[in-house]
Parts: sequence; C-alpha cells; structure tokens
Amino acid sequence: MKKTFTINVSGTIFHIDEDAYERLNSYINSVKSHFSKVEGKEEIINDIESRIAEILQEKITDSKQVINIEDIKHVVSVMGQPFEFDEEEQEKKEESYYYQARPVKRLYRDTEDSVIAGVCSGIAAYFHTDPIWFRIGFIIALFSGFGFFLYLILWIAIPEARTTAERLEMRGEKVNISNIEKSIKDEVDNLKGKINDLTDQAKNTFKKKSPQYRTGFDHVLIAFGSIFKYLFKAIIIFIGIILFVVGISLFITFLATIFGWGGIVLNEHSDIFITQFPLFADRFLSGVGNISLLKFGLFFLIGVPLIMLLYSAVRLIFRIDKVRYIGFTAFNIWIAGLIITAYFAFRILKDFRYQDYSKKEILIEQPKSDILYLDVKQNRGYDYYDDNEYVVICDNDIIITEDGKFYREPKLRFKESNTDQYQMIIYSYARGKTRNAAKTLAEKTIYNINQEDSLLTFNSFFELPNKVNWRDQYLRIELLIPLGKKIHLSYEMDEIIDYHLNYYPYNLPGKTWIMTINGLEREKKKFSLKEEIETYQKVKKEYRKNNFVLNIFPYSL
Amino acid sequence: MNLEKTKAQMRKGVLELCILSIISESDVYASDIINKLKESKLIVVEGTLYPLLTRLKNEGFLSYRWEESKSGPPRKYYQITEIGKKILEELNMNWQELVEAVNNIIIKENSEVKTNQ
Repeated sequence: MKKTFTINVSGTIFHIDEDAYERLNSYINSVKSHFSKVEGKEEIINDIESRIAEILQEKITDSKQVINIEDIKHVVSVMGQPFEFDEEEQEKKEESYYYQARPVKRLYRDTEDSVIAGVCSGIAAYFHTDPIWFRIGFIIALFSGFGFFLYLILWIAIPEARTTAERLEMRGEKVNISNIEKSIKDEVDNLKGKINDLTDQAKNTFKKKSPQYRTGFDHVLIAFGSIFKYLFKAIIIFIGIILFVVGISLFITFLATIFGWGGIVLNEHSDIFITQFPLFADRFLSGVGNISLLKFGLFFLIGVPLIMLLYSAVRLIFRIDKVRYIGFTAFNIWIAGLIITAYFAFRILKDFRYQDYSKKEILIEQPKSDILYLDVKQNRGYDYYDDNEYVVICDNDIIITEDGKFYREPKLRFKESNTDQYQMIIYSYARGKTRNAAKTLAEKTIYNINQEDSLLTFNSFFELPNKVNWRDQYLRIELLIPLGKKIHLSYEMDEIIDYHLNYYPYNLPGKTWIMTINGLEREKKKFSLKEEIETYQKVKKEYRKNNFVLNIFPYSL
Repeated sequence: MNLEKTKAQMRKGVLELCILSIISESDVYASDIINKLKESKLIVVEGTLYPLLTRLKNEGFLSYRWEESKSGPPRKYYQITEIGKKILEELNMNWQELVEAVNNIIIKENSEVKTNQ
C-alpha cells in the first residue's frame, strides 16, 4: 500500500505516488530556478508542464491509474535536466540520473503542532528535535521576564508554514552522515552546473568580440564569484547574529528601565544617567497624565525600533522572506509613540514655564554673647537605604529614594544686616505653569532649622512632600549678620555654603568670622602660641579626615 | 577537443533554421516538432525546444493559437509569421552557402589526402 497525492499538471488531474510526487516537484522546481532569469519564463514553464502532462497521460492505462516513480524518471530523461536544456553543450550523462535540487530548509511556524502559535514546534522542526525542549526553555524565559517578548517577536518574524512545499521546507532533511554526503555532492553538482551556465554566458558575450580569449580566466573569475557569494551569505548571517545579540541586550535594558524590573543603571561620575524610570516618572508626572500611557508611548517610540532590529536579525539569520506590511505597521506604531511622548514632553515643559519663590523670615533668638554658632544636622534619609534603593544626581545635590522621598541641599549665603540683629530669610524657588502655581508649589517645600541658645542647626537637605512634583525646587538661605558680630561655622557647614558666590574664602568652615564693612573677615584675636598650634593640628586632622588637600595655613600663625 | 561539445554546437546553430522550416510547412504543435527533430537526432532532450520556441515567438518569427484536443488539454499550434518567412529564407540561403563552402573545403582536403596516399 502506498500513499498517493492528486495533482493538477497543466489542467490534467493525476494520481501520483508520494515519492514520485516529491521527485516531480523537485524537478519542476529545478526547472523553474533554471529559467528564473529568462525572459518569458512563465510561458516556457507552462509549455514544459503541459508536455509533462502529455507524457504522463501516455503512461496511464486502464490497469495502471497511478503515476509512479519510474514514470517520473522517464519524464526527466525525456525532458532532460535543466543544465542540458540551453545550448546542449553539456555532455549527455551516460545514465540519465535524477537531478535533485538540494532541499531548501527554512524556519516556519508549525501551526499544525502548536500550543500558541507554533513557534517552538517550528524551531524544533528546523533543528530536528522535540519541541518540548524549546517549550520548557520559553517557560523558563517567561519567568525571567523577556520570554514573552521574545515569543512575540518570533511570532511576528517567522511566517506560518501554509503550503505543503513550505511544510517540507520547514522540516528540510534529517541530518545524518549519508544526507550530509549527499547534500555536499548535490551542492558541488549544483555549483558545477551554475559555473557551466555562467561560463556559457560569459563565452557568449566574449565570443562576439574575441573568441580566442575565453580561456581559463573566465573560469577563475566565475569560481571567485561563487566563493564570494557563499562568503557573503556567511557574513550576512554573522551580521544577523550580532544584531540579534545587540538588539536583545538593548531591549532588556530598555524594558528594565521602563518597567523597573532591573536595578539602577547609573554612572555617578557623569551627568547623564539612566535610572529606574518609575522613580522619576512619579516625581515628574503625577498630575500631568497617566504614567502607563507614557510607558506605552516610550515602548512604542524606543521598543518598536528595537523589535524591528530583532526582527531583521531573525530574518537575516534564518533567511525568512519579508512579511508584508510589517514595516508599515511598525512605523505607524512608532509615530503613535512619538505623538504620546511628545504630548507628555509638552505638558511637562509647560509646567516649567514660570519661576517664582516664596520668602519666609525666620525669627532668630539673639545670642547672649556676640557669637552665633552654626552647625548642620544630617537629615538625609538615604543612609537607611541600600545602595540600589536611591539615586544620586549631580554629586550629592539631589537624592531620590526608591519609596519616592526627595532630598536636595539648600544653599546658604551670608550678608550684612542693616539692623543690630541676626536675621534669616529663606527663599524657596519653584517652577510652574503660572507664577501663582510656581509660588504655591514653592511654599510646599519642607525645611527645618533649630535653635538652642546660640547654636543654630541647619538641616542638610530640604524635602518635598510626597506627591509634590519636582519642578526645579531649590532653597536659598540668607543669614544676615550685624556689623561687628561673629559667627562660628562647624566643618559640616561646608555642605550647604553657596560657594558659587566668590566673595568669601573657601575656608569658612571650622572657624570664627566677624562681619566687617568689607564682608566676613577672620576675627583678629591674639592667640597664644600653644593655641595656634592646637588649632593648626586640629585643622590638619579634620582636613585629612575629609580627604582634602591641606592648602591653608591659619592666617595669624 | 571535446567531441560531444563540438557536435552539440554544430547542431545548435541549425536548430532555429530547422524549427522555422518545420513550422513553415504546416501548422504544428510542440510534439510534432519534437518528433521530427528527434528522428533526425537534432535534439537529445525535449526541454531544449521550449526556451527556443518562446524566444522565436518573442522575436516575432512565430505565433500560435490554441486548439482543442481529443485526448487531453488544449494544444498550442505554432505557425510562421511573415517576418519568420523572410528570416527562414535568409537562413536557408545562408545554410546552402555554408554547406557548399564547407563541402568545398572538406572534399578538396579529402581528395588531397587520397592523392597523397
């Protein structure tokens, strides 16, 4: 018993054995590929097919209804092998042996053996293994996060095996020694045929001008051509693999950033940094719009090109034909992403339009002596977090913790008071859609200063309450000192002094200063030598502790 | 020297002349042409004929019509065109000249070979 197919050759129906069918199909394919670049190829192929139908018709009798492999061998010997067609320059082979094109192997989705879309079974068919291994692999990948997207990409990229020919291509031939040998032999024969064809062409063109010049040179040229073709294929696949690796890593990084699956990607030494998106999104966007919408927008804007990169890589590696409309669809989605992102950018930009400040005067209890001591208390919350739970921006200037707390250093300046009292004014700045909005926002800034007798303690950071957007808030503190009164700064004061104003020396901390008509000056006090040395050693010790270069010397020494 | 190759090249040159000539006698279909050419051993495999027919048709030397057949699908019947006839005449003349020229050389040489013996 044998399985048969029903085929239609040039309008006539034939019953044909399975093996005979495959040979006939392969023969017709080789004829087609032979004529693929000839003008009027459809007509030639139709003529040949109708002749084949005629020959097969002769083979059908009342007692023999089915075309078998011998009949096909007969057809091939009568019609001839493709390389014998053209100008009959080939030597006739002693025995007309069957010309078989090397089976093409391509990656398809096997929808007849599918769980979802037949991606795993298709890949398994390509590598001749059981789909179960790929399925298990995908399930594991699913847990690590990117499996879903990988599957989606492969689903889009790999075409479905629809026709019988595609199903045969999908499986290709099983890889074993005899098949490898056969395929190498076929390849060599095929190459020989092609070289001969090309040689003929070359000869035909050379013939007209100089018949004597069609020498070995042409052969060498053509052989080189073939080598380059295979080299080119290998390079294409190599490029495909590189694209795939790059694409996959970019894609995972991107997803981790957008959806906050990974840790922080941060370069503390540069101003440009990437971090967990949600952290910033919350501080930037609450009240502006739906963050999930922005995530989709960014996904379309950045993710879609990355998916297309992966798609091209898969296409290059597995030589998959272009699927229509994919580029067009991707482009439209990308445009949608661009519009969404632009919308958010515009909304945020509007929120930064105007700047305003709120001014607050802090009452200072005047010290009994004429010296006010200034110190800084660390109120930063990030000491309680692990390294990967907070983000540092601009060299400790701004700190955002994972649970959304926002810290920034205030800046302190000293000025001469026009009364005989110490005074303190806090300016908090912010930006907003309108001046009023900016001012309202500025008033929400939280900052604490404590006073105990003559000791004034500044917090090292101001905070923003939860759910208050970051709109470039900053805090400027002005301490007004009456003429002839003194301040003493602890070493920690270094953190909050606004050194951008260059009218006072950089060694303010750790010393006592007196307000004069020329600004702050070192208090001129007679020290004993012992005191001077002690002070010097203390300064030296402090600076070493802080890893600063010791470049100052007490002035009065 | 590749004997088969040379023979094939000789055949190839006259193949178009033969096809045009066969078609000029009466309208024929592909199998008729094949049979005649095979009888004279001008072609070995049938596949050779089809690209040639298509080329001659595309150059305007031939045309064809479809005709119903009792024993199968409709057949293409080829017929020669006016241009085809002119080309055939020219090729025919050229062939006669060629035969004469070639014979002249071959017979002369042959007789020389004989006299030398």
